Amino acid sequence: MRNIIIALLVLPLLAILQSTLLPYFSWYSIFKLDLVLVAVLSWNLVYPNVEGMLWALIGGLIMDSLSGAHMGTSITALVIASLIANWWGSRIWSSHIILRIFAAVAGSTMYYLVYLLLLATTGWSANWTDIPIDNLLPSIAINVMIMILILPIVRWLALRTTQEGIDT
Amino acid sequence: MISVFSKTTVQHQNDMYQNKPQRNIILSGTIIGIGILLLSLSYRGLLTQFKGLISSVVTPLQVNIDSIVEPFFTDERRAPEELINLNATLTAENAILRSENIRLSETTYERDMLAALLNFTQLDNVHTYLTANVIGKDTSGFLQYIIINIGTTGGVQRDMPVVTHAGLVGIINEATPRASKVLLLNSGQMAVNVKVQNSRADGVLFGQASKDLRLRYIALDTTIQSGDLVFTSGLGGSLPANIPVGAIASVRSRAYDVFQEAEVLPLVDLDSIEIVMIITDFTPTDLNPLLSTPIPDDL
Repeated sequence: MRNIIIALLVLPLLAILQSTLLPYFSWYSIFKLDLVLVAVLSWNLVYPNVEGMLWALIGGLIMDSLSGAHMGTSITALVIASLIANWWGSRIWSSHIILRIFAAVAGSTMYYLVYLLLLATTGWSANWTDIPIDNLLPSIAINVMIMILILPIVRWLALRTTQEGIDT
Repeated sequence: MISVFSKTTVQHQNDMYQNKPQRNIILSGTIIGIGILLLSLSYRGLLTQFKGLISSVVTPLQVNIDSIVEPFFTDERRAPEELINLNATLTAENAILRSENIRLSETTYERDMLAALLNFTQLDNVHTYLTANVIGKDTSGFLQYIIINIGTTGGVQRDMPVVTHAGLVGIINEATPRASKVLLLNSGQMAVNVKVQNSRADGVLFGQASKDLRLRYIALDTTIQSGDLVFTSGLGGSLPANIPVGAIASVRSRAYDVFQEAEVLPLVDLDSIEIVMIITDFTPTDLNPLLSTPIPDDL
């Protein structure tokens, strides 16, 4: 339950920062850092629990409300990406840094693919030949980089918030 | 201490691994189902109130955070309040003068036409503006929207044109009570009927994710060149006429094509908009009833 309260506090704040603060940085026009995606995937990697899916739901809901995309687009994409991170995080061999990087890349890629697919089905048109180079690669790169950097913090937070359950 | 922490960590991981994967799959399936249901309802326009509800919670936070963040990235913190107010007044005046200038140019052109044509009615081009602050941008890297701090309670409605002193920014795509989303000119979903000022050529300007815009459907026999100003033509009734949009950067004209195309650079820097003006006295014309009028059998 404490995890959900954290999600309710942290994810809206990250989404609002993504909407208000990040666009001021010049690098953001190329490297679209997705703070909510990073937080949700990191949480699912270090704490592969059923509550991770609720993080995806809350994150997706707030992302969709701050976006021109139809409600449900981010929710669906985030849950599918979280499933990958959740499954990966629950493997005993998954704590190796290289494997975590791989999981982060896989989760981010899946998120964007599902998101773009859903956008396309709701009538969004784009220059598909440019998207992989112009959008996907820089976004995935920055997301993975930040995810790897914050994993120890998320892990510490997960341990702190779930301490009660572990000690008993 | 370290060993205790390690033990706890191991216990923690064991605890996590004991999760039944079936629970995850069932919950994930349920949430994906909810997501697709919401997507379907939103596509049909049935979630406006729901979005408005979330927006009513999020917008005050967004406004506050933006007001904290913005001064660090603009010159506002260094400028006295008097200068800020003066700048706002001059910006608004500049917008009106630009609009007036285009209107006068058009009036001159139309006066020449009136010499030949009788019963010509000139449309009034002086608009009423509502000023709004940009409080956020789309959280997705793929969509071109901005979020402004005025919504339906401030008089904003869907499809109202949004401009700055430089020219057209986009249209209101979604309006909640306290905030609105503006679909930007460079969005792939935007298509604007425009006119090239010197040649009077009509065309359609399409948004692209890149900064430039693509002007299409320009007849081959008209002469357009780089530097020509492009402004809204008013055709289609979705936007008022004579709003500056951009300037032609390059022209692609090939003899075997049906139409010529041009790259147009928007007059507004769409990446760094802080204040916009909404034209509130313009009502878009719905042409759908005309388009669906059945053709009588005897024709």
